[in-house]
Amino acid sequence: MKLLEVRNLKTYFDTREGVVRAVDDVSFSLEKGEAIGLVGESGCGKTTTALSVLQLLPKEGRIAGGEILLNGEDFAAKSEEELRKHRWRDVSIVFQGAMNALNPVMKVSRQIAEALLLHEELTEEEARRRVLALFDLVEISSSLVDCYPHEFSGGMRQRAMIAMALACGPKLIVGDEPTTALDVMVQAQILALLGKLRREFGMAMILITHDLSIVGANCDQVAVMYGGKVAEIGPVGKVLRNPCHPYTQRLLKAFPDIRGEREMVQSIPGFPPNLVTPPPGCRFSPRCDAVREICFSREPAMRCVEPGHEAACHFAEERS
Amino acid sequence: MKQVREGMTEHIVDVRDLKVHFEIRRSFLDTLLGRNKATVKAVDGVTFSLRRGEILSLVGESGSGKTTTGRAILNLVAKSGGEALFDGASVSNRDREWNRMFRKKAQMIFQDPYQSLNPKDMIVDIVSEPLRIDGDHHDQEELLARTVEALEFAGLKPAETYLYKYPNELSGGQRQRVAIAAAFILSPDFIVADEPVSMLDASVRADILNLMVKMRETKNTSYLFITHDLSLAWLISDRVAIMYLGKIMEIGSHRIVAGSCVHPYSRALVDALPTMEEKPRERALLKGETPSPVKLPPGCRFSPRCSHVRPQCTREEPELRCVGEGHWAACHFAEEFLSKSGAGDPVPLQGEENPSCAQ
Amino acid sequence: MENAKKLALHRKRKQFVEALFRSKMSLVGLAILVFFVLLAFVGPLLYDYDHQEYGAGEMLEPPSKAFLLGTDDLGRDVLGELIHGAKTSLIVGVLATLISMVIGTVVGISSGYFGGRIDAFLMRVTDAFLVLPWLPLMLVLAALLGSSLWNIVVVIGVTSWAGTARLARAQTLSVKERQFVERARSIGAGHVYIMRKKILPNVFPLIFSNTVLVSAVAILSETTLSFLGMGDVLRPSWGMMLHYAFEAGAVSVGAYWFFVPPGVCIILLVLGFAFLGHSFDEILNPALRRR
Repeated sequence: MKLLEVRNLKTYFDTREGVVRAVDDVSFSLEKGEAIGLVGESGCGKTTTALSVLQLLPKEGRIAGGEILLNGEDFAAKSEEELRKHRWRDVSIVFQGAMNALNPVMKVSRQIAEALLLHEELTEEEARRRVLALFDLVEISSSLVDCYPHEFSGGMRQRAMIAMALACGPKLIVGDEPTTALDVMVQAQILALLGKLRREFGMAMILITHDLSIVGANCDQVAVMYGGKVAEIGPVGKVLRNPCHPYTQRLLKAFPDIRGEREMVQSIPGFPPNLVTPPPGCRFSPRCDAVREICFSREPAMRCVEPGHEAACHFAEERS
Repeated sequence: MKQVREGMTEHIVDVRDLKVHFEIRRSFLDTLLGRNKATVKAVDGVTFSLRRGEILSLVGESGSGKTTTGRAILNLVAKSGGEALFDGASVSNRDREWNRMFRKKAQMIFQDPYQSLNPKDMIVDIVSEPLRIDGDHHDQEELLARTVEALEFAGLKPAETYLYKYPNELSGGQRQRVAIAAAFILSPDFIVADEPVSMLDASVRADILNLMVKMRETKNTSYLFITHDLSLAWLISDRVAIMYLGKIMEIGSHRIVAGSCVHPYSRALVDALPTMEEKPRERALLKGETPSPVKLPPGCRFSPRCSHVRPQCTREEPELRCVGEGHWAACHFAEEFLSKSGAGDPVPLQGEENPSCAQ
Repeated sequence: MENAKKLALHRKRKQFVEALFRSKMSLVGLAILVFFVLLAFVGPLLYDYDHQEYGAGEMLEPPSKAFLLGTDDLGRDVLGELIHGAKTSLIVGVLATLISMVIGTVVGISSGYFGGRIDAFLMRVTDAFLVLPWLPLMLVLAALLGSSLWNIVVVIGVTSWAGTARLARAQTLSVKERQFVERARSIGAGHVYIMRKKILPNVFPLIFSNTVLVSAVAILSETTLSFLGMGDVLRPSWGMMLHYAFEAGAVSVGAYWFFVPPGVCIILLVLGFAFLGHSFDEILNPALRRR
């Protein structure tokens, strides 16, 4: 049985302008210990997908359809009470911008202990020992155990967030742009740390990012999202070497590679689609340079181009 | 010890040993106890020159001083030492006429497209503003014509649809184009671009970068491109300068940076860059993070994190010196790394006459 | 071209007005204020009343067909006094607030923008005005200057600007750091230009909603001064009505028609300003908007 199966997930937001279809029929799955990268640009629905898995949506958001199966149980159908038992023990999340996620007037160790105490019966002594062990795991010096968030550097705060996310030994960890605001060196350190921890504990990971260049070395699978849907999904090596969806192909050209050719990066003209009234047919059609008649009227289904590798384009096979 | 060559080429910007130090306010208690003033040495002796029409990138992580350097060159922040020359004259001179010219010829593009435009101003006012306050009289027709021209140059066509909108009605990429139009309208000779694309989606960055290159090609505009993204700097610049804790560690052409940099920090930076490969490479990642510029280590400021550190490094601070053609590095042992990186025979240090070491 | 610009400005104003009409609170506030404005300026045209006409009726007569709200202790028509007195409260409230807003904004923005010694000096002055007990200060000034209507306006204006100054300064400090201000400096804009065109438009929405609330306070201040006897004897005003009612012992005699109407009017007027001010705050200050 797979660890996580997301089937036809739909998450909508009720706003004054209408219903925003932020996630509109997204499916993917994860085995134990596997990592998937959800890649896309602003407004593609990747963060909303992750928040749906944890059911941490704001009050205007609701899961309008589909299933989220964690170890076979449908989380989308659970009540808040039941969810609370599973949150953090089975699935936890590391947010972007740890400064905003940490309480500035509470010691960092206290906040990590809080996560522990909410889910387990522990004495103060035991909690403190666990926190120190976690500090060790994420390579924060134990001498800093009584510090406040503002006394930590950006990288250390992010490590503290990871420690908090690991506290209850979850099977799945969601990283929502965990390294975006960090220096490149620190980013590399944090990603290496996540990799090491994953291997040590056999944790699965959903890595949400807009930076396509980090999924190669850190994920097993990648799902490229656009306009609330999955454009292309498959093993990361296959997708990066043989992208079939026009969006993926263009996106790959937007990241310069210092070890490759010095070619100017390319833009994709146009704008992300309006998610209240998305374009009929393929959502990428207004911006696609290989667009044909059918793209404007019929939404493409996921077509398999190689084993395990699918793309939502009418002409996916031709493009591979 | 090499010095910067003077008067060899036409340099539009000349920075010599520039320093910007900020004093940290002390509490009353500190004053009572007679504790010394703490200074943040944001920029601590930076030297380089920019030729006309050249794009030079200042690359560094947070705390490197790259942003402060850019602002000091435009005299938006007061310098504490050294010199910053624009077209031969100091940027902090008080001559009003010269300052008026300076503000027209040297412009800045900011990082945050959501903060660099006044939300209360219409696009037409934002773009025409530099013209309206430059001291020369322009009539309404001229203002409008030049505003439209600037907007269309920046890719916002048809300009009429954008003129009367407010910034909050535009996307991040469009706002950045407005900022560029506003910078372009005076046909400046020199632009400081402070992370102009880091807040934009990857798929719209190219357009903005292409615009900058277009300006260089049509107007021979020189750029100081400030960024934390080494790959972007490599892609777009003629030369790249890598900064750490307020000083330049290495400076050289984009080719050198890609394949043969010698400073241990530069090499670590290049190594840390993610690439689209599938399996993680063996990398030697630096430990720890950039320390605060308040307490600088003795000797070479990179020594605490350097894996090749030797006794001399903690005793003596290395000067930025020539290690190859157009290639300068601040490391006592740069030559060893030169041969290791396979860049051919190390260029021996010669006397002042070596022209290839001119910046 | 100019038309297109006017259209765009018109569009923005329309958005504001629409938001205003959407909020129930602002509608109630607006309704109240419109009512009182009409009462103050149209009422006297429709209803005759002479403030000096003592003995038009019997003293402290309860409401009757002749005098709908009865008479006061000098035999004057209470309803007439009420209608004609509305103007006083409104004018004093609005004018005093205007003075206070202008002083407060100028002080606050200058203080926040220049910083350093100018800031320190201006803020000490502001602190002084904040800390001094406003009532004794107002009484002393009123006693010194005399109790004409215009003096009251000045007194209230001069003693109530400190809060606005604080607010303006805080907002200026935050706006000053934003990149579009730095951009203005980089293209050569001078201090006054930046304060006028960059800082002020971004500070103004906050000040404006605060000002509407300050009006409420100004009206109450005028009422208090008048109640204590410092009001303008020559003009009808709600505060003076309360003063005379108190002096004449209307409470103990049970002459409710004398003191209840002005009291209710004051409360309603203040509420009207408060509702409007609060809803302005929500509209103009996006951070407060309910999602």
